[in-house]
Amino acid sequence: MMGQERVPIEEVATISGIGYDIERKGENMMEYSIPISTNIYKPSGMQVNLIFKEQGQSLGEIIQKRQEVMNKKFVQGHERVVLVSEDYARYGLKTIIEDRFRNAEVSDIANMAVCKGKSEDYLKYKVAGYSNSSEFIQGSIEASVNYNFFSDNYKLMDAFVRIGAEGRNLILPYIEITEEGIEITGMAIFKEDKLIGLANLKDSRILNLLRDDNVKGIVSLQKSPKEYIDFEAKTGHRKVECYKQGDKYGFNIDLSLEGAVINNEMYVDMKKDVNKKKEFEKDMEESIEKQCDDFIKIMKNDYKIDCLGLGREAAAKYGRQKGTDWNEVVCSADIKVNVKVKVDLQGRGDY
Amino acid sequence: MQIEKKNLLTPNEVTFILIGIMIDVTATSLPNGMSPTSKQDGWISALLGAIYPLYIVFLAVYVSGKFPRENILVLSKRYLGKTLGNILNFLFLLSFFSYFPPLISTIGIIVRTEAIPFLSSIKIYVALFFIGVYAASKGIKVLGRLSTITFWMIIAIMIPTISILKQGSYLNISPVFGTGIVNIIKGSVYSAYDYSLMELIFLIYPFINDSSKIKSAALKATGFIAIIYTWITFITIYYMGKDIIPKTIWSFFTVTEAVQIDVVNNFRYVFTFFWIIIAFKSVAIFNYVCMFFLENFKKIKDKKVIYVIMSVVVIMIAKTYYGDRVDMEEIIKYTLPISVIYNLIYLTLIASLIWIKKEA
Repeated sequence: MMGQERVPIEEVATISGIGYDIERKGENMMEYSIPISTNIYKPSGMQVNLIFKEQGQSLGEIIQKRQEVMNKKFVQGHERVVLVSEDYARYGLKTIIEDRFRNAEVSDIANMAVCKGKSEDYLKYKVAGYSNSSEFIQGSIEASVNYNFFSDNYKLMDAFVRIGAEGRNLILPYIEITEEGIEITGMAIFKEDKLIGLANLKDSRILNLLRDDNVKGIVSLQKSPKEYIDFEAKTGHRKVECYKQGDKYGFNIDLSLEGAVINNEMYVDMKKDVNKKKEFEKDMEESIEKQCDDFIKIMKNDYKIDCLGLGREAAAKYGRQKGTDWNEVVCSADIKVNVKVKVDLQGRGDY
Repeated sequence: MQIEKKNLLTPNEVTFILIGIMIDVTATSLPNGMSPTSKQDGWISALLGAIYPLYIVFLAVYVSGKFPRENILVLSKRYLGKTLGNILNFLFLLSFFSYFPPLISTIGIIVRTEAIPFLSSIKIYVALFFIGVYAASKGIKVLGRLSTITFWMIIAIMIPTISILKQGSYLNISPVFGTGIVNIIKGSVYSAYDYSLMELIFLIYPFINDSSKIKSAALKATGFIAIIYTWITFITIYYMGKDIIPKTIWSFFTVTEAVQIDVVNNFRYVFTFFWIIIAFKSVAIFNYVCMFFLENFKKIKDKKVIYVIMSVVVIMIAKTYYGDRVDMEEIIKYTLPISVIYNLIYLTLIASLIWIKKEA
């Protein structure tokens, strides 16, 4: 790496993951606690993973304290994940972003996630087959784009460009340690730099579907345990039309889902009958539109912010820097979702 | 001034030298300067700023058409008398010189922030001057070749940034013209500063081997710079949005990190590496220009000594007055407008004198 002096790899501790925790000690008293997961290479060729955790009043104090217990030079820039504990996220990401943004050596493409409990536990967690859990967590965030309509906008850089921007809000994956190991269980929703709400995985799917372009996931219709249909869809570019009536804004969101039927136990003869296909598409559209409307209701009433990036679309059309509170505008706006479903493939047959 | 034929510059080399002196390390912070006034329309301001070098080119083409073998310093002495001519020439030198210490200081800060924090600034300055002075002492032809190489480097590191188009959003740049014409023009005044130093053309046009090509060479340089500056500003706003740009110091560096190329794990380092080489070229050209002025005042026998003295003086000034970015901005705030306005007046004066004398 360019940013460092040349020393043999055996003399450095390279970072693989960093966590941010906070400990409240009464009124106006709190301490930062930062665990880092490092890789250390032994002369024998063996690689070990060590966790260093220090506490302090400021992030700089922690760096100094860390060196007291570390026998090697600390090298940054290889971090794979930046984990933030839920408490820290509720307190505000500002200090983390400042720490990461100012330092030119860190990797801007490290994945971010909010975790339940302490981030230390996640870095310490032993995942079978992995030398450290950071690699595993990074992998699971990156692989999440395949289903559940997750996007790949959960990197540090994405947080930089969302937190301070007009009409945009950050959302990050929320992870938990469950019986099955480290698991993504939903999305953390931020207002500016503060966590204000958690969406469970069911809501997260719709949130992601509404929010991002080009995402993939499965939507289903079910009548009974034996009668159901699964549709693996990919969305295209989200089209948002913004209009203004008097002082009130309105938004039309056009979503198009295109993809393959992967299970069909409900619409008999769909592969032959055009009308059956149309019927399915219509039912699916209605079902998704209903879920979207439900989510928008939750967004307007519970989160009370614009987590769909609609303010940005309005700002791009009606001008910026007028002091408009886009969260308020979007929550009082009339939001309509139009879904278009198109069955593109039906697999290799119907059995 | 008779110059050997083989030491003359080709029109392309003139283009590359002009590009070379205008594009220096500060181009990476170009969007930062514009974003407070022209917001998401900063890139239009960057484009409009090109009016300033175009005006200089217009003057240069006129003057070089009349006197293709005499540079501006000789002409000003001829038309204004030796004393007044020398005074104005000296002020012209000062206006060039006012860019020099901040340039090397900025290079030092960028190198230490983005690449090698353990080097002290003085070591970087010394390295810069070793290479810069060596190249400058070899004469204008070597600078021409050096600028040619760095020109291709600029192209090579700018092309990958096109891939960022996939990642940003057009929402960040719309509404186009949303900030109003007045703000866009205000922003373009700032970008004109980054376009400055086109004045160099008045010193180097006698070196071109085909005087009829000076117009196309200068216009090409202006066009290229305008495209690069507009692109840098556009893609930075497109990727980051106008709200995030003021939070950075060199916004374009942060943007380059978005370029993802297989094998390269962080494009910013590649970009910084080439950007530093480009900076070396600027230092070489500045060294040459300062020596060129001094030679014009008095014939210099021992150039080496003068180069060493000059380097020491510049390093001292950079260390004492331009050490920190905040200090630097404080001084530049005054020197930049003064030198741009002075250059405009001085060059317009000489050109109009030539025009009036011819009429009379």
